[in-house]
Amino acid sequence: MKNVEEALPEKVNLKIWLKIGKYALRYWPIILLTIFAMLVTSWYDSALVPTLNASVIESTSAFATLPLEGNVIDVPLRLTFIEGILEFSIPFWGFLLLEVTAILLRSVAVFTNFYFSNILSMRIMTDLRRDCFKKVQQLSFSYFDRVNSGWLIARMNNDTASLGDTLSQQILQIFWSIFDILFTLVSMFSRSWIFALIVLASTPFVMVLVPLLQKLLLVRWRKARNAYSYFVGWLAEVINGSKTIRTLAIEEEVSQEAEGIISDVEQKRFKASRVNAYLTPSLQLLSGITTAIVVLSGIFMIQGGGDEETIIALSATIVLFISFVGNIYNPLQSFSELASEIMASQAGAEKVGQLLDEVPEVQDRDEIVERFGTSLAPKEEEYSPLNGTIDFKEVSFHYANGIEVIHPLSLHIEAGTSLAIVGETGSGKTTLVNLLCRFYEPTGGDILLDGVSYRDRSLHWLHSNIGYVQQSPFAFKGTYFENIAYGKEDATLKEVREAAKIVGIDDEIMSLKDGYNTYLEEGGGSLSQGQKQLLSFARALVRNPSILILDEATSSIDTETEALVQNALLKLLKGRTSISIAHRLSTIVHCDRILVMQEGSIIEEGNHKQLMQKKGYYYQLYMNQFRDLDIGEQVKTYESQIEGEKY
Amino acid sequence: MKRLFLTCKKLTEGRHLAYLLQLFIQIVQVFFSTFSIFLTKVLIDAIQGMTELEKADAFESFVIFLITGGRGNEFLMENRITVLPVALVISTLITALLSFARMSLRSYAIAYMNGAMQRTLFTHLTAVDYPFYKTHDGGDLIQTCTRDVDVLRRFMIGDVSNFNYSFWTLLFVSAILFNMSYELALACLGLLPVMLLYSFFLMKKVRRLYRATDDSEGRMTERINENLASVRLVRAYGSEKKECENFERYLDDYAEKFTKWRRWSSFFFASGDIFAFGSNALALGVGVYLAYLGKVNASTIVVSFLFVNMIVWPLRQCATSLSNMGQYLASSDRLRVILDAQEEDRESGITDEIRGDITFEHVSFHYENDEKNALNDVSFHIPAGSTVAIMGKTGSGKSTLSLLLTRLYEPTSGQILLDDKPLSSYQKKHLRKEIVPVLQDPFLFSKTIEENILLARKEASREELYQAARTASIDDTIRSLKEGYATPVGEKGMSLSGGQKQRVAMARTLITDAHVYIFDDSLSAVDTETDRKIRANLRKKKGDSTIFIITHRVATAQDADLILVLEDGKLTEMGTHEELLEKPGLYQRIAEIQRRMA
Repeated sequence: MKNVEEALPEKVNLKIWLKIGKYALRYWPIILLTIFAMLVTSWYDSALVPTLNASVIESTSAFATLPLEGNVIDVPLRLTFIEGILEFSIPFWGFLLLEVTAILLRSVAVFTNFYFSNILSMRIMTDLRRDCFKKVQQLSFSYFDRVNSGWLIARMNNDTASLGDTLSQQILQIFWSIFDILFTLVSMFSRSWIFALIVLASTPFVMVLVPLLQKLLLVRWRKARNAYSYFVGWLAEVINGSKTIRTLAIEEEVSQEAEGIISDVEQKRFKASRVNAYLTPSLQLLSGITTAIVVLSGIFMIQGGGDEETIIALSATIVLFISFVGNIYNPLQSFSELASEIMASQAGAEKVGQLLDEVPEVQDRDEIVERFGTSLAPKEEEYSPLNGTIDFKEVSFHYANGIEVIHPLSLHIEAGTSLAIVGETGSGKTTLVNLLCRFYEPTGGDILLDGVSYRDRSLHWLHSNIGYVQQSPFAFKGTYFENIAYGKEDATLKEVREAAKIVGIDDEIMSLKDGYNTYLEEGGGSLSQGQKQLLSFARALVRNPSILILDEATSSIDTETEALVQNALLKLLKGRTSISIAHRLSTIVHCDRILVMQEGSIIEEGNHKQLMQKKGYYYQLYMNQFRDLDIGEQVKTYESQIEGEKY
Repeated sequence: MKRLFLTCKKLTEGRHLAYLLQLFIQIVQVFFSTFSIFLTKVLIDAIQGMTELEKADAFESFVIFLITGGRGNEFLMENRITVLPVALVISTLITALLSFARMSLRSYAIAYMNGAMQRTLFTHLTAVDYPFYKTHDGGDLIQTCTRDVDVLRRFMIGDVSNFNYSFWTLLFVSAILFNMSYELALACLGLLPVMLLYSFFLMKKVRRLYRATDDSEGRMTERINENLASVRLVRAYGSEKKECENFERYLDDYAEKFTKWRRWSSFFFASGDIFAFGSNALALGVGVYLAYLGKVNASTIVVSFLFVNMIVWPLRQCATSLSNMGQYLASSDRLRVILDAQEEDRESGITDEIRGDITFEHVSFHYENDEKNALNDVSFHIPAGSTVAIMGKTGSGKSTLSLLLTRLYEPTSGQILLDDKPLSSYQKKHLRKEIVPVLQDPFLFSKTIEENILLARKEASREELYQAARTASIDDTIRSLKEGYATPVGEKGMSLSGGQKQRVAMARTLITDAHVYIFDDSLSAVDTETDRKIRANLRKKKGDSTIFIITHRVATAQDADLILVLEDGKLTEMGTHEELLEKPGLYQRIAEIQRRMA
């Protein structure tokens, strides 16, 4: 049950980074600007600051030996950028001015760097999200059979965000580290090549030690995170199963199990964070020893005695090199951190790439796209109206596994018929509707609408002629108006209200303070299932569709609201082709035609009365259902259907 | 503030020592860091020669005394080639060792404080009164146990450590600086209070903008979830284009909020840097001036700007932490809701042997936020060992009976007697081992079927396990699964049908040695034949137990010793099947309907 750990990829997948990298390269001006800003920042930190510090040490040391005259402001200070090549004297005021200007310049550079690399990250993230979202809108149903929505959400939320960061901040950060290293190298070698070599000699340790520990760190943190998410899962179980735990009085057992999980998390976390306790002190030690060696060789050089100037210069050099050690270790360290972070996000890049490359299984042919457009850019002026005559011609269907779930089946549905399909779970009734909606395409035979194969029209044409109400009624986050008008692009308030009136919720909505502008929270919030279902009826109705499909539309409604919905339904079905799949048979007794399906074939057909009299499979289904009803529902159903009908 | 402190204290119960110790080591470590930086001054002076060493103040002399073993300046000058590197290495070694000790201890404290927090919350969650779960959303509770705990952990580990570090660094550094030169000290430290205030207020604004961005992203995530949840609808309505256009609005909103937030946060960093580097520059500038006047020497200036670097960044972090106090307080308050929740008393009360004789005396009950009585003045008596059927419409109060009998809730008025003693006088733990319901909507844990059945009796034998499954008529079904009893179920496992779930739950209940069983509509999802079989098994295996069967099947109810009919919380009919058939009422009516429909 524990999550399978995702190991770090061993190899860089260049192909995928090139593909995803294009999302960053579009913004090349931003990238260039940011890199330039990094150059400035790095110059200040790794080149200017050491030079200024050295200058101050040298000049002030000299004060003691050379008594000076005049105003302090005019005291000359020596600046050495590159020894012998770029060095000059400036007065103290010039020094201060340079310092202030450089600080301001650096701040502007830091702002530019921070701001634009973040903007870049955001742009990449939103671009990726947009493309993923678009792709998801186009994918076929077979895709959603294979992939659950949790996976998609993780791609669209987490991976896009982390890729945005990787491609902007982390990859750009590499430039920063390179600049830091370059400037430090130049400063070091221009100051003293002996000391520079000493410092460089210590860097292989950093380059070996840090990546090793870094990898260990990453792997161990993954383990710790997995253990932790297992704990969160267990916590959720305990919260959701609180009643069961109490009634079985197993609190002790539950706590014991939690204890095991918690100590597992503890140990793994400890192990993970302990790695840092080795990393930091090791680096401290290494830099301490390097510094000591620098000092040692420095003192060795002047041991035989030296002139004042050499000694002063040397003391400045030593101070400088103490900071150079840090300046060279830090970028090296962040190099390896960045490398492992980028590797860690490679899996995400691959998955996002996979999603973006996905090809929808059900697609219009090129010439159809040419003529009618795509669902994202439809040419609606080409659409012809649909009457609603449906023909299934020897339609059969099997999923990828090859097992046929619809056996060759022919069916003619006259426009205006209300048709119901019943049968047990797995009998093929939902598949039949999925085929009609072209969520899947038949693997054999064809479906004709008004006599024309539906593959000769576009998907969007078909869908714009369908009204669809699904099993679990859906309320979008938004106002009542938006929820109903979802069915029709340019619906007016009048049209929306008319639809609401027909299904009988207009009065209720109008009685609210904000009427149709009342906001519904996610999932409909305070609405009952019945109200939500009526809302989705209104949504389907406002489209005035040629074909109405009710996919188990009444199964989640209690008997209280059933009467209400029943009334709305009758109005909804009037005068148009409708296909209802019903689990609860009480709601389809009024349909013109009922098909009874079993194992992918139609085994009985007729209206409710005929089928009940036949006492066949339908009769059996009906009776079984009746028994499962609550007492109150039994009385009601019996009175309305059995006593009322007197079959 | 005090609340925050108390919450943290309570959450980390048992791990206080490790935590405080690592804070203490941090202080020692700060002291040594300050010391080794100060060593640089000695180093420079020693290199520059005797004249500079002579200028040493009291503190520097003390340091020289330390590293030369009390032998003084001359010794240092003569042996600087060994003394200085050795002193450097030793001080680094000590610093590294202290780092190692502190970081290890800190890792330990982090990991185990987290564990302590999880344990504390977990214990509370298993111990709270059941009604707590009715008034608090499960998702929110999980959020609190994860996100808010995380926030407080970050506070305790990150922020408090940083406060500690900054405070002591500031203290040591100021002491040394003022000792060297008060003018230089003022130059080094003068800008810091301004920086603190500036950062604090600016960060508040940045944080507000961040929250707006975060909210916007939250809305976008919700939109994605909603879109995925309504994929059928979107396809069927051909509204792909509309969805994309609509999503664009969320992207735009996010981009706008993000840009604004980042503009300010970048400004925060960039302008904050001016203070940091400004302090540095000020130290240099004033240093040069003072050196010119002969008041300080080069080594003092070096040490002063090294010190500025040491203090300025953590101090800015302090400002950030302070501006985040609001979030810490909010998280702590949410955690308090769980920590302060009423705990259930499961231990006190009598543990007398239970036979199962039950009497309801004028029992009424209503839920806290419900005006209507779920049960209204209900009285009946059931001798031990009898079978009672309860019938009624949805919402008639049938299920409330099991809530009261297991004391998840207490009656609002009236009383329930068990073996002639008030139910409330029994120990809850004991009571719940003896009165066990099979819930209407049973919850299976994400474990195997076997583990689920054995939940309440881990020590049961294989035979008992199979026996319980057979009694619940689920043995065959389980065996037909590929992995049999080892099949994982629950949220992460295989999904069972409603009826299968109920029968697994039934087996889980039947494996206990209870004396009162309540089957809350547990037989509705099985066919009449299985229903009959289960009841026959029950009679055979659990003959001396009192059995409640809540049902809507007359066939299930008719063999019972007593049938209760509930309507709107009131007991309207009571008697045997034959007696009730004689009386006009709901039972007679439903019996008639079910006879005709059979």
